Amino acid sequence: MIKVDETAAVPIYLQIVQGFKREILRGVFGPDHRLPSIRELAVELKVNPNTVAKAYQEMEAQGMIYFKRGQGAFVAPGTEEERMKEAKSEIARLFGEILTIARSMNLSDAQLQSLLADLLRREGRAAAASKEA
Amino acid sequence: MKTLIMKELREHGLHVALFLLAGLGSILLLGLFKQLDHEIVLTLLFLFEAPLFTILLGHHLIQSEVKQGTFPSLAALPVNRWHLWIGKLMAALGICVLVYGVFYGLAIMAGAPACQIDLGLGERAFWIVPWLQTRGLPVFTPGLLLFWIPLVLLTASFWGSMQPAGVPAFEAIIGVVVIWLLWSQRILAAMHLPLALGILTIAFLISSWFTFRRAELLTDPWRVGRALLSLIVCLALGGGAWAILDQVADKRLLAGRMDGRIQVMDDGRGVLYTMRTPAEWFDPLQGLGILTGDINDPDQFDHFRCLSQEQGRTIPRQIGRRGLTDPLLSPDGQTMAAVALTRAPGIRTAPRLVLADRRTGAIHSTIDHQARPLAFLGTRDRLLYLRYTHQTGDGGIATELCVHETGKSPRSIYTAIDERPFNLQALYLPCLNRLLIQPPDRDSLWFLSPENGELASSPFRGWNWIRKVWQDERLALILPESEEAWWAVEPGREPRALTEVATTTRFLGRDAKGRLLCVLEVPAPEPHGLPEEVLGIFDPATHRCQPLPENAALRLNGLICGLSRSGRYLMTCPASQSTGEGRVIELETRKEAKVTLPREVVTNIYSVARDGFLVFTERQAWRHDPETAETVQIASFPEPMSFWTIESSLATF
Amino acid sequence: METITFSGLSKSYGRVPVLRQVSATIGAGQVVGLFGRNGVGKTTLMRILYGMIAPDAGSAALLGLDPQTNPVEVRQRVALVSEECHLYPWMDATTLEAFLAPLYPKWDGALFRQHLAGLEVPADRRVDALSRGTKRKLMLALALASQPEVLLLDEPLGGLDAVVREQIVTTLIQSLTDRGVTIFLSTHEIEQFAKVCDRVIILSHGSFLVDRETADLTAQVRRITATLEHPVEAVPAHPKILSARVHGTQVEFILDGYTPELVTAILANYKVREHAVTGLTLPEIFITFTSKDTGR
Repeated sequence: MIKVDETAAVPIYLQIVQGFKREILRGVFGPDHRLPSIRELAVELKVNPNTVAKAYQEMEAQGMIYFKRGQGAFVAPGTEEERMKEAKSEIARLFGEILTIARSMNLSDAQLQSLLADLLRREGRAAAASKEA
Repeated sequence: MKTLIMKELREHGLHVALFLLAGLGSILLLGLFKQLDHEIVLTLLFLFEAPLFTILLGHHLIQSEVKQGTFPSLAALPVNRWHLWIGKLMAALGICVLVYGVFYGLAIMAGAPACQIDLGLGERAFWIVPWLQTRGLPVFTPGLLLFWIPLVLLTASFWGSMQPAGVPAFEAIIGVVVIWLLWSQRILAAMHLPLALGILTIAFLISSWFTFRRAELLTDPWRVGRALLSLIVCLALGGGAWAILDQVADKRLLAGRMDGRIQVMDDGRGVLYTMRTPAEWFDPLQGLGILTGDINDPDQFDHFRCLSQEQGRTIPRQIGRRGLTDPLLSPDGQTMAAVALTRAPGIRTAPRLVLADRRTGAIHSTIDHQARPLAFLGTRDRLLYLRYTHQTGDGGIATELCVHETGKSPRSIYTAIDERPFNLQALYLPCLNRLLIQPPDRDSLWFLSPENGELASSPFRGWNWIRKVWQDERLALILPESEEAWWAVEPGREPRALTEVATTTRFLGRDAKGRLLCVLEVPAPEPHGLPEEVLGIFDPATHRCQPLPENAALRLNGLICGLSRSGRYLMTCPASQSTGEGRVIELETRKEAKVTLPREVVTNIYSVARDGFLVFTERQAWRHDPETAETVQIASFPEPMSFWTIESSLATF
Repeated sequence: METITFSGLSKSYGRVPVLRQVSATIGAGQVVGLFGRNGVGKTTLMRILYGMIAPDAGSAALLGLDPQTNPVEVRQRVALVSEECHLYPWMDATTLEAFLAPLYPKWDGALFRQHLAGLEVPADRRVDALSRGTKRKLMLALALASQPEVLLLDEPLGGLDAVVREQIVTTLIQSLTDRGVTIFLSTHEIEQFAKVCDRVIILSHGSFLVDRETADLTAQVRRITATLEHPVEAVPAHPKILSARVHGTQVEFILDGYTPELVTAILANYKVREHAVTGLTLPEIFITFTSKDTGR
């Protein structure tokens, strides 16, 4: 679920937005899924309801959600390509962060690529193992 | 605000209940061990337990908040400081009323008399009395015990409860000192306690409000200074108001009763006397009945002033301050001895004998305490006075005759001790330089020397005093109350009865030739007629009275007579008739003049100056001078004056 | 109308100045945290705002009312919860309600009991038999029962265990959404309220060092760590550098007002091998600001 870290350098409302974005991309919140009310979320996360409200506003501005009068906030239905595009740009961003770290540790491109291949292989074997079990 | 009061009640309810139980318990304990004397019950309940409770309650009101640490929560309530303060005060008052009410009920059950709870002014109903009074302590009236004292204690401890913890001990010490001062007889015999306590209460209330209002959270150490300062200011204002009130009251001349003797002054141009008025609510009252010995004596609730009425003034003039009483003019007429009852505004001291200026009443000096003047012995330098002293130990009262001489310390020449004071009478005989007194324990009159107190017996027997006297430096003629005979007392000779002189004889005085004139009764010329009264003279050699031949035609029947000091003029007025006319006869020339007087019965004729007369009618005094033929009113009195009042005042006792 | 306004407030205890002409304006619905070290004067400010103490200078207005001249109305609409429990030890919650309810026009008994239940406070146990946390919860319930428009909280979570803290924070957030109260709280434990406050004020040596939205503060105060080619002695002073540390070739400084251009500008003075920008937690921000302020 959504988690916020007050010690992170990112403002809390943005963390909320990012958290929702991740969940929506993963498909946890489908289109027209009803989001928790500002109150519920504020209580659950122990954050200022204003902050939650701000996050919701930002999400609406970005087109992630829409409000229905008297009923709350809902996930906006987006096209498959939009989601894919979002997913890709998110992954790209994450890759960028990994790259920065790798560079600071003086890893070469070849080392990076072999690391990635290794990981994919291990993941595939694990998936196959769990399918058999 | 009701919640505040309810909260206080709930908070202190348990303590109150415990205290009431303790009160009841103490009474029951007493009942077990002793006879339940209601006075002891009253003392226990109202002199110890209830005041203690009141002090603790007042103190606890604020200190409990401070100790529990709850004052900030009170300060944070949506209630302004005024309501907080009043709420506490109301609650405390309510609790006090409850406790005192229950104690009162307990006292009544224990046998105390139900009393009218006057707020201190009905001091006639004393409550706790005898065994305290014998120990020199004051008597407590219901008003004091049930109202004023608790009020002062409550407000004082309320005030003290706002100070840091150490201060109440300091207050207690001051309180004890103040109480000691108040009860100490010499310094302050009695103030008007209800008024004084009322001022104290208000001062404490105002000061505690002032402190509470500014005190934020009662943590500021400067609040002590602020509290003390505001208290002092309030007391000063209260005291100042009282002093002003006292001044105002002083200037008011109320109608009252004349009391005591009348003095003639200024050659008959004025009279001096004491007037007695009921005390007003702001007058200082005497709380102790030492002077009269009777605590139920209404004397203590009246006020005394020294008044003079003089020629040319329509209204009486107050001499000196209120409380100056019992004036006695000195022979030169410039000073007077009097009893002074107030020293400072509103404070009544133990009565003291003073010498004061006759015109202004300004006090020169104090001669003694608890004393009153009787007579000047010949000169203004010797004063005979009566003094009362409370005997310690067995608690009797000593009545003493004392003599004060200028330049010497007073000496006591006669003492009588009993449980009550006496009203000793003394007659000074200048011809012998002796006093004639009636010792209370003896049934005769005795001669007393003013020099050394030597007593010598006199021929006058019986419990009676003296009815008439005429005397000068050489001779004293005395008619005792028993009216057996006139007696002559002369220096160097034994007193002897004048058996030849009728007791109806009235001595007038010495005429221009030095002969002692008198009014004689002579038998009527007709066998069945009434005796006639004529002018006669007294022959010291033969001890007889003889009619004066040259004045044989002068009928003095039914007339009051007076002889001028020069002996030249005789004034007569009809007795018991209000003709408004008098006659003055020049004895040498036999010339007569009429004198117009008010249409009232003449009671006395008093000689003044050289040739003048001061005529007292029932309500007035008029002065007539035969030389100038001037007749002028000197005084008018609110009540009819009896012959005896004037006579006893003016007689040269 | 601003909910809480004060300007030029000063207060000294004896010769020690505790507040030196502090001013701030708080609008409706805001949650403002006043942070400061122990004993710095936070309670004093709260008490001045509540009219319990008079300031030496300056003025304050709560809901447009002056607490010094109109304390009754202020206290009926503003609730103060102190850190110390000043409640009467012999009372219990029911007695307290009977005592306090008549004083507040908007007292809601049902709401009070609801909060008592929600905060797990027994209604019939004496105050002196309650634990510290329960006392605090009771005080909060009492405060909320009067339906205040403003809550002043002085160290609301001081000395409480984690369970009670969470209960209190939850209740506060519920009040925020349900009733729209404005909250002005003071504390020395900054991380407790980092998520709840949308504005941070830091009080140090009598003045407000910082008065900013939380989001802005976290965004603008950043730590820059850089590894240099050559070791340096010190970092030259710059108005936006709050603190700096040098260790051989490692340089670390904390910036207030972070922009990438600013970093570039500062680092331009050196030959930098690499650098990293990280954020600081609120406690770290707090320490940075207060250690810089020596009271001059």
